[in-house]
Amino acid sequence: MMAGDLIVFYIISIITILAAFNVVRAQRIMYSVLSLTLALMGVAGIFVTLGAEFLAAIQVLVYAGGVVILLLFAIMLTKSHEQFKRPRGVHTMPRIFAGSVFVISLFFYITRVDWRTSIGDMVLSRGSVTGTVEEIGRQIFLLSDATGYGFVIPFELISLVLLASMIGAIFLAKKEASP
Amino acid sequence: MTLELSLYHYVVLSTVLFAIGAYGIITAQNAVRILMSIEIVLNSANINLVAFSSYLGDLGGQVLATFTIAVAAAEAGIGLAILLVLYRNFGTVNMGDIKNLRW
Repeated sequence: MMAGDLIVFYIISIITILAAFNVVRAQRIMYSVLSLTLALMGVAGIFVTLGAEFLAAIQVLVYAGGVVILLLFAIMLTKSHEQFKRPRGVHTMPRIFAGSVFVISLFFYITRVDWRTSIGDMVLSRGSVTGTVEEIGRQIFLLSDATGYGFVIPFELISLVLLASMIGAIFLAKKEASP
Repeated sequence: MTLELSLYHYVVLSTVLFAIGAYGIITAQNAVRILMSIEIVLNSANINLVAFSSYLGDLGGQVLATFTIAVAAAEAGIGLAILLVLYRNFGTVNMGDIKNLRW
């Protein structure tokens, strides 16, 4: 008799895996972007099953609300939605080779590794961690570890990274000044 | 396979997603599809981080995953800007047609 959380995990993970597979193998790239949205939402669901609610909300906001929109803009501006994938016969053998390497190594990894000795008994018992906004905020700002600052410095540096990437992207993508 | 939800399941899910994303990066011909596969790979790493954070009782993994999401979004923006410049210079984003540096 399977527990309810195992059923939920299997449903969400199978949806995510199939959507990710469709991203790679879809004929049209618009189908690919929509499958990517579904896969990212599936990952947000996985975060919810792990108790990381703040991270699930951030995942939905940033990825579905940002990255996917950027990808749609890129598809439209590069006119990729008019091209189909090349028909079978071009580069088929390297594709099959790469796919089979991945599948066979996955099979060996999943079935031959002895999980009990490599991970131990942390495997089954969930630690008591809540991923609410307050707890994450406390972890970033109030953590007292060896540095004494917790995660404050990376938090500030992230804002610099985002600013730099914004400036860089605008500068790269603007029209060249006409002579 | 265990009959109870464990860390094992999340790590296997992360590995399968990583393999799908890596396969996409290697075999995709459209540059936008390559960027989408990179996002899948980054999400698989995030699943791994959050799963270990949950099963170890340490919230640092979730904080690191937040930073990873921020950096991934920044990198997606810049990657797409580079893609636009590439399209402007070559007229196509098909990786099979851009051959200037190949033999």
